Amino acid sequence: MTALLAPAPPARRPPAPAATPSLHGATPKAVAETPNVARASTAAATAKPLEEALFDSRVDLKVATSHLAMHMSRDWRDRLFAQLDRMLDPVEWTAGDSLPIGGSYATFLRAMLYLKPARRPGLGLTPDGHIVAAWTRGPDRLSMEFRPYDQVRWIVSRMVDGHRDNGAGTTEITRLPDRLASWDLQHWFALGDIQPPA
Amino acid sequence: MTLASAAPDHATPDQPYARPPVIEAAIELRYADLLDGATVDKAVARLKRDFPKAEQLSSVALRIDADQGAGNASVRTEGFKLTAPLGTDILMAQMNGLTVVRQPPYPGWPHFAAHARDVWTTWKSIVGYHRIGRLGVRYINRIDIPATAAIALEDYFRFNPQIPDGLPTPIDSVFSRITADIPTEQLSLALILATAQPALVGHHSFVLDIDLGRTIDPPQKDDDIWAALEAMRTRKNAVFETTLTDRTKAFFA
Repeated sequence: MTALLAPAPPARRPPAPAATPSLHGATPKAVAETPNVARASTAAATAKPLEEALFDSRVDLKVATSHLAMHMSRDWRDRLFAQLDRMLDPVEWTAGDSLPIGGSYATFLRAMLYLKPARRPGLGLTPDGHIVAAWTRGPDRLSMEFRPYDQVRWIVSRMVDGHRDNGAGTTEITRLPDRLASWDLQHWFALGDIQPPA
Repeated sequence: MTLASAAPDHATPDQPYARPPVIEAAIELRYADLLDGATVDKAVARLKRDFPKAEQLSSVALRIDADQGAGNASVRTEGFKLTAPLGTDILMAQMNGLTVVRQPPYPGWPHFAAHARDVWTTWKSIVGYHRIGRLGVRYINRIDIPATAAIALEDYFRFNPQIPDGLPTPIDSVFSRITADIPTEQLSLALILATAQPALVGHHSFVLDIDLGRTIDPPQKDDDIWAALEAMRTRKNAVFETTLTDRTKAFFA
């Protein structure tokens, strides 16, 4: 019978626990294979000067971006790289802040490829290293903080009929459109001028 | 001299797919014997001008004496992983040789091979001639397939497991690996199809890993080496094309 693969899980999960132990060990390692980067064993990171740590972090995020380059336009990738360079500029860096967390950046990329906002967000970083994306439209603001394993914290603030409405929540990427439906995602994501709600 | 990147970083007429699924392309030139560490350090010092992010590559040996209840671990430095500023061009400069790696966007073989040859020429100008023991060409592809419902692997791959009656279905993951010799070309092939962490929401990701190596009478002269690598790349393309269905190729056409 041909192999049927179950539907894709809705969100990334932490790795499954290890297999039942065996006296024969794990899958045999290939005897002679061309090395690959992902499995290369690099020495544990030692404390680095800030400038070097920021440079390395920029490279790491660009590598992570490059793994999804086949799904991105070149313009978007170039713009993203420029944003990363600014975000991790040693001159602008606040001493004591944490470097970006790889899992947070992965969630950011997955969210952008899922939501496909025509207007690209501004990017920032929380002091503990989580990526933040923000969209503003006049006095209105939507921001998303990305956590590992597809978790997103969102905060929205919007003027409606002369009153400021605020909302916030935490959810998975796939549930964002539903959770934010009443806030009209296209108000932030669409290009060009948006008419106020009737 | 500045080493050229494997750029351009967009599709070129040299490769048929607009969005090739390659997540790692590697050309390996492995020596029959190890270089000494000082020679590698000297070459790395030069290469770091163009690949400034340097990480030590090391292996750990753990020795335990069960009778004495004692053990010790030793860490051996094998070389360096060097990354260019954009993160797409990487080298593994090691005591056993040089591996030139390209991550996406994949620019096509002519650019990648020309870049690899430039790096090799610089490396060799510092370390000198040493006998080649293995040549390798490895392409790791990640294929992202929309999957809100169960999918039949045979619709996408011509290399996939058959599930006998009595085993649970649908399955959650796959790992299939074959190895084979290609005597007429003095090559060995290792081919892996495996599920991976989904790269995109609502998709399955599959890794198709094609590794071709030549250890039998590998050429020693540069022109012969690059001709052999070119032949390995041609074989790699044939494996790629025959392993995937047209439906899969349409995702990156």
